Amino acid sequence: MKLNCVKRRWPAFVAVIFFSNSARADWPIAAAAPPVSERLVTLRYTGVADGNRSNVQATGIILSQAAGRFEIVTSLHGLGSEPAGILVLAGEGVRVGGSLAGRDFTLGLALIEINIAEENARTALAGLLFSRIGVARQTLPGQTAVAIGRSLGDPSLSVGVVSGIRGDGVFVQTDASVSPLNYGGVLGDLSGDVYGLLAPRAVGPLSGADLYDSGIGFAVAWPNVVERTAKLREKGDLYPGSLNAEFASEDPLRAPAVLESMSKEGAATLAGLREGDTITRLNGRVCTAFQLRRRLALLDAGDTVSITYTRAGGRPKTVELTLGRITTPADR
Amino acid sequence: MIGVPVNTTLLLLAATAATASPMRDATRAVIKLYGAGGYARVEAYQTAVLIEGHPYALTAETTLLDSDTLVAVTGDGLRREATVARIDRRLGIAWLDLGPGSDQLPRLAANQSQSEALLGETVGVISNAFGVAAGGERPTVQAGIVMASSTADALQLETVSGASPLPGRTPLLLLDVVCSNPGAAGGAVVDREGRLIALVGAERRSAATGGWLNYAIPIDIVLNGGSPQASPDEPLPSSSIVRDPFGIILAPPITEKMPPYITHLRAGSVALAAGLMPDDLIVAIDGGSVSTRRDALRALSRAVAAENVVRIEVLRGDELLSLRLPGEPGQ
Repeated sequence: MKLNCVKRRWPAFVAVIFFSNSARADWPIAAAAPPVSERLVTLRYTGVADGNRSNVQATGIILSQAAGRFEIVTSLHGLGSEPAGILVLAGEGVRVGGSLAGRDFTLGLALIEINIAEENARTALAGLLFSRIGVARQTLPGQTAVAIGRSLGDPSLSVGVVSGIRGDGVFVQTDASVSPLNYGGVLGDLSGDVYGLLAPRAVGPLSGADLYDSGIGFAVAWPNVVERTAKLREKGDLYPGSLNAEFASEDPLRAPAVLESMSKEGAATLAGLREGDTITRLNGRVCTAFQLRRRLALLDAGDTVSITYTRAGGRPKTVELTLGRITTPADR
Repeated sequence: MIGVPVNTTLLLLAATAATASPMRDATRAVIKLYGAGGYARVEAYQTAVLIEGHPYALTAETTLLDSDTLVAVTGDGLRREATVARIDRRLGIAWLDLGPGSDQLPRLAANQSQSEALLGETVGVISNAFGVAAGGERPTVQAGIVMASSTADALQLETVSGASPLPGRTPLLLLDVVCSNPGAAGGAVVDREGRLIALVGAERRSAATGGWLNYAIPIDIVLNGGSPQASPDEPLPSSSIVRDPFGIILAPPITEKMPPYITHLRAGSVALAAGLMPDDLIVAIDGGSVSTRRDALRALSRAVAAENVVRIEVLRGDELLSLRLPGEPGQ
């Protein structure tokens, strides 16, 4: 009988209750950090033309190695304009200058390259390659999320949960504290596997940095980090794409976009679109004005998309369009 | 069947014992502090803590302490008049005398663990945040983890009016809980066993994070009178700033935050002989990073005055070079 079991084993039950309350529930968090934080590098930029700051510190992840050349991925924080100098501090006492290898202005990532001549240092850094960290198998809202950074040289930790997945899986939102202390670092789960790379992300009128301490932070999902860095290597700097036209809608959440003023040599004009055209699909998917804006925000200048539109109530037509760069604030 | 209620009782007792909260008990040693006559946007309240082995209560140094009368509401709900016994301007803390009978009040044990060991540990912040605890109500408890250990310099801590600047090398704990709140200064940061780890400092902004900092001063720094690391940097008289230390001439200060680029090296100078070249960007002197022309000149002038060998690190393109300069002034 079950009750007899309880009677005999109650010391065990007491022990379980006692220890589970006062036991080190924070062990998993404190334990998840070192394997990851040890693999992060500290980045220091001097001569940054960014408001009041002349030097900026950030975190980075060693992405790849080819002989003595190492590639580090980080967020765009501090790299909006090229700094005078980039210093990389890694592992045990490796200090080396780095150069900017590519910037993704669409998602807010950057690649930094370093060259290591000395064999021991090369081996040490090879041991820190990100490929030795796992990627989280699931990213679900409510899962514990740990934000790990190394911007100050020493590790920093913040805990929260995965708050949501945004942008069709591109961004992981969290309420862990995401700030310059860990931009370029890792958002991971309790097993030490990674959800993504922490980066500032603008939300509405607020810039990414304004969200510090608001309970909202973002990481670029790791599969996207891999995809974007590959594109950076192939195509160089990436800039957000635009139709080079203003569009509006009587009900942006429900109705499609109608093109308004268009730049003369802009992407939409060159594709044959005209003022008054209603855009019904982007890349084959139906979209409202709101969705169109959202989806365009994740595409790059130079990307080719298909636009399905109707003109003056006629039959829908589809054109290929190459996105242009944002030239005026109205292009956003 | 008779055995069941007995075992349930035992289980419940055990559960209750297990949920007795050391953090909750710790609130009894945290004091709500009020000053007379608060005015617009300057809080007339904050927090203080009683520590085992110390007769006075510990708090943060803020303008509140300038009040004519300070009232301390202790864990027993009683109001006492408090007077400032001692201020440590370097660390921005003060000790308060709570008057006769205060030696009987509950106190917190101190946990003087090294900051690095605390990373990721759960902590409770007990404070008079926002002054919401009225009358005899216990102060507010918030929980989070220790986020990082760092220094005032690394965090680029800004001076706030009413608080002295913290010495650059003061170790600080950063917390993953919003404790930078009005009234939280002087609050207790305790571990899961209710022992005092750190004191919430006066509200300060950090240029590194761009916001108000959720930080606390480790208690071992406070109780040990500040370690040698926490001693302030010696002020450098302006007359001893050398314009061309070691023969190095830096790019002119077009902006206040001009990076320290070398534009010229005097002929026959020590710097030229050591291998420095025009367009080198100075990034560190003797291991300390320098990011502005002003910082570089000060550090180099100090080195000239000290007549020691100094290690200078420069970025030449992407290459990081480390050179040694002997301690004599350039020609």
